[in-house]
Amino acid sequence: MMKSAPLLILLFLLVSGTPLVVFAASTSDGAALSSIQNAFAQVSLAESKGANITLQVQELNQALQLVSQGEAIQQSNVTLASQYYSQAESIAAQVQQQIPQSIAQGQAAATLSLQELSAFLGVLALAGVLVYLFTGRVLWRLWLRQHRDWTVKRGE
Amino acid sequence: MIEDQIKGVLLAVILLLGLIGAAQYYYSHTTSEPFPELGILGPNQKIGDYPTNVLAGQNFTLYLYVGNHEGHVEYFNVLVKLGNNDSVVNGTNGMNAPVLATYRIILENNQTYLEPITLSLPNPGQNIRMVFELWTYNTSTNTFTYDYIYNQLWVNVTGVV
Repeated sequence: MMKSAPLLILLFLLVSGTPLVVFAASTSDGAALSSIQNAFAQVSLAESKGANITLQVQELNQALQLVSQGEAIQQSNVTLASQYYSQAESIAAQVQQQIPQSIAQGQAAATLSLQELSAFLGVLALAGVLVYLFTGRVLWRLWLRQHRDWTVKRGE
Repeated sequence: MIEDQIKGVLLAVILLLGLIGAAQYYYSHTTSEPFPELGILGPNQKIGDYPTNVLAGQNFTLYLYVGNHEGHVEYFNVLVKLGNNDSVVNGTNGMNAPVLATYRIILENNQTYLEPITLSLPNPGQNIRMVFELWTYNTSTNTFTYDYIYNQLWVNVTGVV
């Protein structure tokens, strides 16, 4: 009876679906790096849509640094290493949350930039038409104003 | 006639301004020749003064330089591997050798990274080939791919007496 106790416990855990390795899985460097990779993919996508990703890149580098710190002490202090990995995962999740807003801001900025270019080219085109139509008139009006004190004399 | 000449000059200036504006907009959104950079600098942050003889297990410092000119954000891994005279750096998988250290960095376009790295070689040996490989994260395949960019240092590692 006593010998079968561990087997029964194992069977119970398997049947009940109790996650045996939840703590380890969510606090390993692999899980943290995977989160960072997912966040990076989102950041890359956001950038392609015109988002300013400077802040997100800084945060992800901070997360990578935490993973490196965790790896450095993995053998000597597992608890602290796990804390570093958890922090890195939190940062990655935070970055992912920021993405939709960054994309929206980026798209707005890209639209504004295109509008500015369009307005600039439009003003130039208008200036071209005005130059073409009125250069002669303006030029001679200026010439006349410049020479208004001139008098016409009969030649000798 | 002077009137036509002035009109021509003004229209040319307007056309030039338009071209400059459009080109500036276009080139701000494209990168003509994308490339990454990898550099290993000596302890004085210069190309030189690299260690050639080190003691096994003793720390030494180098500087790692990575630059991103790919036109978009990149996630780089720099793998430090230890090989020897017979080790070959493969264009697809890098050098088939144990990884001594990994450095991870995410860089925006035109951003560079220069940081000291402290390494220590565990085992004595002659002509140890220390290779620094640059791997790039591919968001399509969710894997790091090697672009055949590497630096190397040759060192002799002596045992501690």
